[in-house]
Amino acid sequence: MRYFRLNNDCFLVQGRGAVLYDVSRSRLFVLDQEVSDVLRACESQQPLKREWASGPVHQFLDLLMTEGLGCNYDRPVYIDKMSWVAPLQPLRRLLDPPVYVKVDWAITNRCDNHCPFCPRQQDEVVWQACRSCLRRDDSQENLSILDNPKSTIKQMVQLGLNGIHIRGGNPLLEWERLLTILSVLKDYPHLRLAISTPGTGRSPEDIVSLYQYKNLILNVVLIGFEPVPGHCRSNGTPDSARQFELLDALLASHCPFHISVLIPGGLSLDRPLASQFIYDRWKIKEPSFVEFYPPQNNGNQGEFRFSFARDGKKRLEQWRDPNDFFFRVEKNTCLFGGMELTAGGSIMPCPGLDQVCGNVINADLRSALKGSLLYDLWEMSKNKIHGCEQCVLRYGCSTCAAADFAGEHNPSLKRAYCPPCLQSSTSENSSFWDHDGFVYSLSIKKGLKSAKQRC
Amino acid sequence: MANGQLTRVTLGFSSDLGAEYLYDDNTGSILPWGQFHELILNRELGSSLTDSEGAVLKGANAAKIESITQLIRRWLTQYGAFLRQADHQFPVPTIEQIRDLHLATCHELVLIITEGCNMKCRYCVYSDKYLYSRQPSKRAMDASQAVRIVDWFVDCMSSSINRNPRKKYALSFFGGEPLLNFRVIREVLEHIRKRYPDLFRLTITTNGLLLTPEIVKVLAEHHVQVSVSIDGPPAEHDRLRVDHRGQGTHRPIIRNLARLKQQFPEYWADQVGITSVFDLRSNLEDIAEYFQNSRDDLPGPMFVSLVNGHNSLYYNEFGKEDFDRLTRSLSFLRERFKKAKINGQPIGSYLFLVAGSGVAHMSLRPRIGDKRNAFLPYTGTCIPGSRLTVQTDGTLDMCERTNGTCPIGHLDKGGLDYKRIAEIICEYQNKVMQNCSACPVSRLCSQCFASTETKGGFSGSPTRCASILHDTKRDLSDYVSIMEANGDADFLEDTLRIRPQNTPLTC
Repeated sequence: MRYFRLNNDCFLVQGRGAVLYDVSRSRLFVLDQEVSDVLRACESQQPLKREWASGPVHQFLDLLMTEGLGCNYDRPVYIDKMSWVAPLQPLRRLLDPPVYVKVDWAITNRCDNHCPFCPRQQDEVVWQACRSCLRRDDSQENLSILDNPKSTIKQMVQLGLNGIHIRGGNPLLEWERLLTILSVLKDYPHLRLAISTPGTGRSPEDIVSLYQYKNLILNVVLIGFEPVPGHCRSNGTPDSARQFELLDALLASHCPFHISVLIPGGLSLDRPLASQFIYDRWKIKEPSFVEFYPPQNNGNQGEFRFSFARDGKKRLEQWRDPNDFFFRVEKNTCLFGGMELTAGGSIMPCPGLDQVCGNVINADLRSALKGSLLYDLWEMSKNKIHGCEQCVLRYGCSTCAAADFAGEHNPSLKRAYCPPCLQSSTSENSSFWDHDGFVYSLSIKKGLKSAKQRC
Repeated sequence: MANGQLTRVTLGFSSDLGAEYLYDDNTGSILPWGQFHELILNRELGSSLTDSEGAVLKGANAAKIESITQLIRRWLTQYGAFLRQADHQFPVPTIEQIRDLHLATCHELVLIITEGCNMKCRYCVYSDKYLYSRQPSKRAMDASQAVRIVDWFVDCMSSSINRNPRKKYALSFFGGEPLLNFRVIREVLEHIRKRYPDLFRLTITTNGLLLTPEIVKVLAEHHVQVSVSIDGPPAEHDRLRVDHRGQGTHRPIIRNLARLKQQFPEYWADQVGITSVFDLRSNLEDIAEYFQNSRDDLPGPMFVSLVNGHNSLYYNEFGKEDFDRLTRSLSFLRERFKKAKINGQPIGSYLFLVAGSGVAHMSLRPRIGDKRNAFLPYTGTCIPGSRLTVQTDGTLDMCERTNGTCPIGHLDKGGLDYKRIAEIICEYQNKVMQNCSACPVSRLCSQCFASTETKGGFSGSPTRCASILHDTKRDLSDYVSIMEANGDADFLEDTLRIRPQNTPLTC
């Protein structure tokens, strides 16, 4: 009797289709049905069938061995599948401190612009809302933590946060408050600070003066994009000429900044053209594109589609190393380590997801973080998200968690940001997704091929 | 096998069905192993193969040799497997580093609420059978002192508390028999309720004789986890756990537990457990059966251990036949445990604790990404003071299991003595860990400060190390034997089941 087993660091994942994750070498193999059946039999300790002792299957298993993916044995063996850390998470949870990384802190809901789509509705879906200036609530923000930012920032530092992202509304309208926060942050030079703003309400000179704080990066949110022909803007949105003037000033002053382009309501945008314009003028290589859809568009059977998918294809991200891979297996890669503090005092997992995990209205930040919901969401990996848990490409997927959650029980929405192959059929149809050359196809007849060749 | 200053830190073992494996101590990996693997690893490490060895590889399936070669190269170069520096120099911790380490790792405050006891167990560590431990006395904490200790502890831990909003520290009432000083316990509980709600997970270890309805009511109100010592059926328990007149104590304890269950059934189910001890004359099969058959009447066992023989005269009265009998009994129970795991059958808590926890440890063992502490990288020890124990006179000990000859500070003399802790760590490095860098099971070792303590210091023991190596090899073998037959066998569930709710992993 002969047996074939995949190596410790190779994982067969089956669901809608089947793939093989070569964890150590960051390779992903998309399997056809025949390979899937053979490997499933092998991994369940079944001896190799007599007809596999020679011929195409035999040659195929030899190929897998040559690729270092598996090995044959004379007897059943136990393959101790690789795990990055001991499987003790439930026991460690109460001892190890949470890994707080960054906070999105909406210090105000006020804004000098009147964009018709803001504040957004609860059932809107926003792709990368964390890069935007969209409001989260209608609170009057009478919060004591804003009266005493020194104490709040000290608590954030004590938690181990190393990044603070100030957003609004337009935080520039709270100029004095902002200056106070920046003066406190000078005591914590290790903290990275970002401010997202439409860039209106203060002069470019004032805004450049904020850079006295060394670790600051400004994220200027452009609403729509006029230089792209045919792209519409709404009444009440900021004057883009003034925004461009600010960006020119930041560039001239060598101030680090980023650009987010907010695309409302399913307007189509030529992203390559917009990206090229932004690069040519302000040297920003990869601007963010924040897309959102109002609720009335959510039930249209997937007619709309988010434009983040390049050329209509969803992008698969190669994991950097095994640690990164197992992180994707165990954690929510988007939410982990983050939280949002809204202007109304709620703690939410991110600016795009309406799940209240606590509040600081009557409690300090530390006390407000005692509950478990935030940490449960951090660990809501794609294994646990309905609609993703059967997708075999889920560990190669990089999506905005808010969209994942919103699409959990909304197939039409899911279709809007996930290619059809991930929804209902096998994943082998690589015309629906794109990658940087780490995905291969495996079949018994054709052997191993770069998946790019099949597109 | 030495290679310059590098040493192989791997352990070969086989399953019951004869499949060979290799445990690698650097990565915590278990790899299928065989002749080809060994030859290829030697070749990759620079050894030249003999003609016959070369012929073995040449005669094998080329694809298979290529697969094994790639696997070994990955583990060797990408993960740093197989070899370790043999002459490892341990870093000396600074006082600041010790302070930070202690803040990060401290998870428990143990209050020795009294040294007095209303029993006189035959294996008591506070008896003349133990060479260095204190003797029984009537010393006890008063309420103001106990409250002051709690306040001091919270103050010490403030930065850690701010860092981790979820963290709950264990606060354990220990003795002697702590319920002899219940008035103080009640004051501490009230103080905690007022000043530090949600900060502590409260526990008490008691012999159960004083679990009166009045006392139980207070313990239940404050959600105190109760650990009651019962060693087995009446004959076994009364052989070991007797009162000052030499009378057995099983009956009154069982009566108290029955009343507790009637009084607070949910509390009984969620917060009460059994601690059990055995010696060479214990009939483990009978004890396991007793606990299994008493599931409706007794709380579940959550801690089982052999009577401590370290620095002890206890075992002088036992002979080889006692040792052999216990060994046979343990082997029998291990086989029963293995069979149950292979067949996916439920495992009784006592059986799991006495015969299966070592195997479960192999499943839950540290892996490649689990960082080791730079100062104490080997053995299973914690940082001294992680279970900070305060004696009745305010002396600070590293845990309640140490013999008291190596304190780490005093409440009224500056609190924790970080300089002393650094010295203790250095002594442990030099006396206990000196050969660990060449050990193939250093990540799986159970030794700690308590198990290597002498009078005022620590010492390693080649005999103890050999025993640990032997036991670990057996545990690894049993683990893969189970997993070969039942790849779905789960050990985490067993481990979680025996712990009271919300109990974190501690030593």
